[in-house]
Amino acid sequence: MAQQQQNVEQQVAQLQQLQQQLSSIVAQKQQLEMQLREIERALEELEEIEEETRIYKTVGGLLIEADKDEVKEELEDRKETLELRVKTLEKQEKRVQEQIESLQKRLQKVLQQQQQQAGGGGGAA
Amino acid sequence: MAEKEGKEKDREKLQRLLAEIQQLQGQMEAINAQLDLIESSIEELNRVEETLKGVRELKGEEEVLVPVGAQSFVKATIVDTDKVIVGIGAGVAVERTIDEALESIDNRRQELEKARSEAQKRLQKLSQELQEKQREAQQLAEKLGLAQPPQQAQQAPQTAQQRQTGGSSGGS
Repeated sequence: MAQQQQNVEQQVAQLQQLQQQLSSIVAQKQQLEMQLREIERALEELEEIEEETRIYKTVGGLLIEADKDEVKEELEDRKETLELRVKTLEKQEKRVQEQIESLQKRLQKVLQQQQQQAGGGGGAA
Repeated sequence: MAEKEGKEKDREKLQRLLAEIQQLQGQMEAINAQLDLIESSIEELNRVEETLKGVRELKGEEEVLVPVGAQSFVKATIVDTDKVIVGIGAGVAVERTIDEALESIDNRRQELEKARSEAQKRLQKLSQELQEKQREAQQLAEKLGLAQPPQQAQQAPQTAQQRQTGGSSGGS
């Protein structure tokens, strides 16, 4: 009985750890998605700009003039990298989610068993 | 017996209500944070608008003081009083005429004001919902014996204890 209890506690701790992991993955993903949206918006904006318009790029605290096509290419590259990282995180998220669900199911079963054992004595009205 | 079961149901309902109230309060807090953000963005836009309108009026020979942070300024002259460089995000900026920039500032401000009034509406709706739930919870709490005649009030705490210790297993 005591060993079983210890086991349950371990699983609960593991569950909490997984949930923490999940929320950190989700937070990371959201951050990357925000960067992605920013890049997409910038690219859209660049499309609408007239040919002779001057374009600058930030270098630390400074702005330095840059070539439009180069900037576009650079943004496309960054977009691709970000999309890849988002996909990786999505996979991780799914995996952890599945782990959480199966652990929850196992825990629920154990707890139900315990309650049935304890319920025979205390629960009868 | 039936009365006791009813009470148990009420208790469960109360608990659910309290959880819902907490959730509502969390949602309202999030919207309030969002509103603060919108508010400060609008303020920033107003500030830039004023600056750009000022620059547009310059001849380009005047000395201006450019803030470099910490209440410090360096002297400068603005070489181009028609153009402004505007960031479009992702570390990229484009040159625009001040008139173009002012137009897009106006658009962005309108968008933000729309978002603000929408957030305010949502907040109001949630606050109404919150009040209703709080009133309902209050009524239930009273009904459950927290402010009831003495004979029943004596019984109530006991049932409360039962539910917390053995109740969850006895229920199924």
